[in-house]
Amino acid sequence: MVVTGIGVVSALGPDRESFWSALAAGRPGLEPITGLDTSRLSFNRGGEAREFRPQDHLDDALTHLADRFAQFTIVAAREAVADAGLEPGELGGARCGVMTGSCVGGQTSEDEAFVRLYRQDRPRVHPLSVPRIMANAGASLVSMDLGIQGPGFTVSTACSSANHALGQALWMIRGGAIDRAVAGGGEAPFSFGNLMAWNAMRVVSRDTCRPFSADRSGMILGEGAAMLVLEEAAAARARGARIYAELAGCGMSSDAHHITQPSEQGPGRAMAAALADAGLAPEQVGYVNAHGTGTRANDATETAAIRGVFGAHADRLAVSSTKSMHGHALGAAGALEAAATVLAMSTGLLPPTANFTAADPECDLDVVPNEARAASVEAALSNSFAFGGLNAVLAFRT
Amino acid sequence: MIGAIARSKRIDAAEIRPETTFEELGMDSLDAIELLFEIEEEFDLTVEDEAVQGKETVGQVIEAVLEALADEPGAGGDAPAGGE
Repeated sequence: MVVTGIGVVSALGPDRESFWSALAAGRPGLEPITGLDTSRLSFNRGGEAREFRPQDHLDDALTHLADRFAQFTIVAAREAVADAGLEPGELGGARCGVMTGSCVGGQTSEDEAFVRLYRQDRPRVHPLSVPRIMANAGASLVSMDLGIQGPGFTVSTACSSANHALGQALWMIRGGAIDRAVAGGGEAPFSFGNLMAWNAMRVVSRDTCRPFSADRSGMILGEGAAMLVLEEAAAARARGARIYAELAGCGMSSDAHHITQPSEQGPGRAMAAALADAGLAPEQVGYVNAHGTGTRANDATETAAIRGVFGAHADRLAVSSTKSMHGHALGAAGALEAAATVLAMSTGLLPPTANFTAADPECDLDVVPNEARAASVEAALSNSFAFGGLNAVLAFRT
Repeated sequence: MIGAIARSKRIDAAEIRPETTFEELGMDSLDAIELLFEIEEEFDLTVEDEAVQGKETVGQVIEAVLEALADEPGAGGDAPAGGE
């Protein structure tokens, strides 16, 4: 299965080009949050998609119907399909699927609806609340927008959602159920209620996101969407499509351990399963786009998990967390990072871990600090590990 | 109410007459529940499902809303619309 199209909306800009140019420059998009009042939060930074203006892309009716997370998803899907050199009518109808990840769905619309009820004591909520809030709205509206008539669904596995969605897309194409998929994830978690919930978890940094750095103090939330066009390699070549990279495998696992504490074994099993599914030896991998949230626990545990899977080869791996630049977009994170990984492989430039200040003995990998690095890699992994211990890792081959 | 329809469908209010059907206006069921929401908000009343079921023209719904207003003088908005 190969990736032939990429579309992105993120804190780094409203399209793929702005996303990649910021990653390549090591330029973070994590700024003080402007969309709402942060005075009751202990943190004030986020990766907001500030340059995204729905009216630049969507008509009034669709803007009115779609929550922000679904707007991102539609726009990213359109960009991915155009990038693949396909018209919506050429996607394959019932032989094309749409799979999205979303952790919190239409959070902004839900918050607005319940503010009316609980705070303003209004007798009713807006009648579009349900279709706006439902987590599958992104997949549904993409199917309508692009005429995709095959299997469509949304996976919700917190921070791994998009990787689970992309893995399912891979396996459905490989299994012959469909010929093509438009898959990824979208998320817009910046509602006041949701931010207060994250505040209560005490995992969001008051500083910024500094993955693997000795002074890291937590994650920074992000928003956006990334959608990829996946299709069989032979079909892509036959139509003369540009191929970014092969999505060669996916590995999934459950920690069966703790609802929020990360484990070393679960992620290790997912990485090993992704390599096995792709038919890759650990030594063939040159780059890992880490889950790398920037929390004390994740980054040390992920380092140990990578060492467990790769053994001595771990010291020859480049490992970076692009969350340091686009933020942690929860259900869209895996999709943004799959886009970053594929663009890194196709351009021969590995995006760095930004905001890195000092090495931590517990994170003693080559984390590509602060500056992108020219390197051609044969294969790469993209890790997503979720609250709830549900892990999904994608394996790509050049 | 004609103003609300005109705004939501982006058409000239002068084109909407009591005998105009919702079908002619290109309104589907989702448009219909949005219109009812706007009416309820505007007049601070609750329009029961039964009151508007089967109504096909703008005039019929105006009549139903007027009846609801008469039944609920000074409607306070304390009666929630029927369940999900």
